[in-house]
Amino acid sequence: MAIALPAGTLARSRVRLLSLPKSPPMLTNWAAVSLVLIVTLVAVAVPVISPHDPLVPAGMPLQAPGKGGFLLGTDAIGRDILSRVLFGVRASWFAALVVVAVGLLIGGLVGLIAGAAGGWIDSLLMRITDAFLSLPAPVLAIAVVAALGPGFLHTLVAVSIVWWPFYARLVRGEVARLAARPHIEAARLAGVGPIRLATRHLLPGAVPNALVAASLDIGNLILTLAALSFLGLGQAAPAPELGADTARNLTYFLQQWWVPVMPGLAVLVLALAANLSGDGLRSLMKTS
Amino acid sequence: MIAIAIAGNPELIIADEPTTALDVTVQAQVLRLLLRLRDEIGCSIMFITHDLGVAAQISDRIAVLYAGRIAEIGPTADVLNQPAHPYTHGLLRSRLTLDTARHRKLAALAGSVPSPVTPLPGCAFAPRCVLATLACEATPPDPTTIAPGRVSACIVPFETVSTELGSRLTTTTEDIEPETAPAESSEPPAVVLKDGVKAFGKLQALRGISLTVADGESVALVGESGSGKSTLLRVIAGLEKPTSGTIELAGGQRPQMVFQDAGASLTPWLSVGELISERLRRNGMSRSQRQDAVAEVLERVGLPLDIAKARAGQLSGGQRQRVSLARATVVPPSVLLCDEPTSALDVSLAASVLNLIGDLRRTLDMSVVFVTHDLSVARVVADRIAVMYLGRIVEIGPADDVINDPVHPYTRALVDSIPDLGRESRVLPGEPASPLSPPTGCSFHPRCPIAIDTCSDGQLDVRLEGAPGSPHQIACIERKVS
Repeated sequence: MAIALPAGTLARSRVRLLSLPKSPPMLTNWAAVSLVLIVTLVAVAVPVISPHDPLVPAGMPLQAPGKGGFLLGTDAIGRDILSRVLFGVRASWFAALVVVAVGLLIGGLVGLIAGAAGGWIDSLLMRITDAFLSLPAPVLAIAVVAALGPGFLHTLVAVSIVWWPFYARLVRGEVARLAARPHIEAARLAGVGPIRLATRHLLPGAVPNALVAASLDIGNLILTLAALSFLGLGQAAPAPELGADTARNLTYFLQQWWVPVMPGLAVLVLALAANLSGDGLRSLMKTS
Repeated sequence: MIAIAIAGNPELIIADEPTTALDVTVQAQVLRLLLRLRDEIGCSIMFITHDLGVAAQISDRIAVLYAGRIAEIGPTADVLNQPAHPYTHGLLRSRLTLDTARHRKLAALAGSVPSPVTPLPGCAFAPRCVLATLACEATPPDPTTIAPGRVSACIVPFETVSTELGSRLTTTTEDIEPETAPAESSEPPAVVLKDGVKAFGKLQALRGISLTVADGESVALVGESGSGKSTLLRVIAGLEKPTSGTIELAGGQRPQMVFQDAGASLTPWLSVGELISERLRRNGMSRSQRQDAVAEVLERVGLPLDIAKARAGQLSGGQRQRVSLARATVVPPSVLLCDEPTSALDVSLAASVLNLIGDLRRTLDMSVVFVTHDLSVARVVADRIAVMYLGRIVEIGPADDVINDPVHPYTRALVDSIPDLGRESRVLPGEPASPLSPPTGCSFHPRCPIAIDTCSDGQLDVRLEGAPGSPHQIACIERKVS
């Protein structure tokens, strides 16, 4: 979760982001950023583009990729791996987006209040944040799943609980930095109330860096969620899930390598897409 | 910095505005040092400055640049006494000196510097030049030799420029009606500060200041950096709480402030219109009423209406300062506080912003407290000048009295350090003592040319005193107003 953030990228870029790319490097960055959109579109369209039902055997078991019309082959009971991977991607991607959104929302709110208010409110909120930050994700996930019963949703709740403090810290740092700038003093003198000061004069300045961090973070989350489902804390058995599919099929690794490797590769591709778009977004912010 | 520059016995030292951020007293020291080094090492100096007074002090020759080209170049005295290029004329006219007429609009060049992205086909100065003809806009003028060692890039003959602009120099600025003497107005004073003390930990920024600003009056605070003038302004603004002492504002209304760095004082992602109309939200105005008010105030500060949609980053320095003024005056405050609003602007722009502040003050009937380190600016904007040294006011009085007849040795030193055309500046040795441990007695005594033993006495309490009934007061045990 440690992400190096460029210092001092201000929200002036909000305007710039909407303008068209002007040079080849900018074009590359825009292409990278649009990866998030493309993956999201694919995830939405999965029920339509998926060639087979991921839960029902579609052909001979353990067919190699390309044989019998199965692009990525079939697994031990003859289910189409491509379909399973696509549905797995859909689940992982949406899960990651939900956790990031929850993190941005809760963390952003806590960070904004802490950074804008300062003083003892800041100290109190940040100590609470630290307490949450010290919880290890897998252990908490096991605890939550043990308490609420197994289920993908419960895993998401657990991950969200450990995930938002990162955003709280990030937003709080940005807001505190902005709060020291003269424009806040000028706004106070102009008679701007505390709520408008926080939402209009402070928050927009923290949004760009928070967005960059969030898009880089999607990659981390996909890996974490895959790891948790690898440990058996993900979707229940027949449902397609990238981490779990890799874990369950490891026994085939030496003879029918594609069965565990294909879902694993999908995790890699997703994480890569998220990181590339995060980097692209960061470069775009830097140049503006 | 200078030591690093001369370490290798260079042939040439390039000095890029080395004194711009310095106080006049230190500036005089640095200029003196550079000239001495030049004579000792025998190197050349290329000195970049926007201050013609500084240029007059240090240079043998002056090159005046405009929009990427040399407008004119020649021996210092010639260029300043008989400028050959209309732009040099304009620069000299908008320059503020201690002799600038006070109750008159300041001369400012019309228009602004052309964009370096889209150069003009002809002379870049033509749109702002009073002597421009059609031929000026066709092709860029070639540099022509007008006298031995003097070159000017202007197609208008030297003699014509001299006669045309030389005579305009005195006549073009319109008179503002002479101010009705700030007679004992019935209104209560706008600001009353009594024994204001402000300490930041051990740092004593203000050490007992009493200041009354009458209704509609303009007071300038001058002094070197560290004198506490900005802190005093912030205390009046309510941005800092005084450690002790009381402050009363007329009507309890909050003063508005224009900051030195106008760009930084405008929230970068909000539009000018949003920033201005924000101040009207409490008044229960409808959206369209607010828009009308924004349009009105933008017109008042001389900005086009469509600037309401722009953000601070898209504006020029002068425009930003005007936007700050619009924001401060859209609901006219009883007191307008200005913290060096022109120190980052070049001469011509500074003059137009000062004119605007004067206009706003008269039309909106505001009191103004103006912080500056530039005595010539203080003289033009203020009715009264307060000279500060290490957290205290050492001299206060009507602007003309303080500048023309300075009594306190420190005020004299300040006036003497101002570089001007055809005048040697005298150097005040030393720098202000640290406000962490101000000298005992009169805190100016270590630098004072007329200090006597009593001045350093820890028991001594120098108070502002003046002749009975006179507004001119001085805190010095040796010098009194005669």
